[in-house]
Amino acid sequence: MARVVSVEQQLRIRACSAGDVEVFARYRADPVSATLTFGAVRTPETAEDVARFVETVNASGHLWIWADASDRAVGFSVLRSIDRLNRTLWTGSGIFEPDQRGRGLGSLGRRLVLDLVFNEMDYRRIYGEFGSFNEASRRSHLKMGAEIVGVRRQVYFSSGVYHDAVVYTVARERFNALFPPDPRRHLEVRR
Amino acid sequence: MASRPVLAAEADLARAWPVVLPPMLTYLAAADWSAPVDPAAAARWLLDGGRIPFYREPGGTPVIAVLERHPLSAMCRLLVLSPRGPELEGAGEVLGDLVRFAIRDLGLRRCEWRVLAGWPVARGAAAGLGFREEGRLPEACFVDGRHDDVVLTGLLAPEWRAS
Repeated sequence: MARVVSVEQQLRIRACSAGDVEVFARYRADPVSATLTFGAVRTPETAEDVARFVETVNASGHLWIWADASDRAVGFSVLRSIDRLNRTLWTGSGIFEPDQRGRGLGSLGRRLVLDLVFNEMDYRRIYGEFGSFNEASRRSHLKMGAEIVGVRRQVYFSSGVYHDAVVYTVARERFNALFPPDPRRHLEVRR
Repeated sequence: MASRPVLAAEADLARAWPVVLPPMLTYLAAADWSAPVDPAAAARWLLDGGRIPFYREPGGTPVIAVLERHPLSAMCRLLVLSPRGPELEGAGEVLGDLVRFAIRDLGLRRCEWRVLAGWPVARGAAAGLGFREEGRLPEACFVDGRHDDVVLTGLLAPEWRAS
């Protein structure tokens, strides 16, 4: 049985390594997880297929792992459509194990990623979307300061039914008003 | 009688690219079209990856119109490039040809087009074909010294047939 991770435990963001491909492959193969994240069940994939997907994402964006105190991968964020001219990007995320959802981990992971994107990488805004059926995702994004800005009609397809995608944005100013960064956090001299 | 759209040749795309790209650079980035800057590479990119480009020169102005099929589903994204963006006379005809090709000839069920909020001709052309404004990405594109919104428009096949 999977160990329950509480939000009090330290999460950290790290790059996706070869050792994470297996857990990511399990996640993509699970129809519920895939529908929540990608809006559709994935076609059958080999470990090599998933490894290629990870390489493809990292070639144009980032696939980051949310790791717990023992460096175990508990979730991930994908940063894609990185617009270095206009300083915006799109994000998507998920928690690997179903029994760890609904405990606040997703909000914590997203918060860490947005803090990095806004306050260390100097992006102004992020955009993202979730299935109109995904209430947990809606609640989590609203906690991050998300503003709903649109609905793309009939873009997801699952179990024979088309679903809408809800589009949201988070502005840096809004996020930082909710979660003010310490401007001196990386300026302390270590002794 | 309106001319039929002509599939683009690599040489036409490469020749037009230095004129078309500079005024549309930030728009391309904001609308998630990561096109190369180099003309030869851009021409190859436009002809690759499920993209179907058309080329014409109405009144001597180069216009590149692109349809990109979604890799998994019956949807597509549209792109209209010219030195004036899609704010050119005849934008509706260019867009209309793309939509007709997508829905009538390819059987796709959904088209998407992202336009700047500050492009009234383009938005009017989209509305005239039945596109609906489905959302807006605030401050997504830096143009004319300020950040402009990108409007997400979408068209479903039954809506086009009814329009």
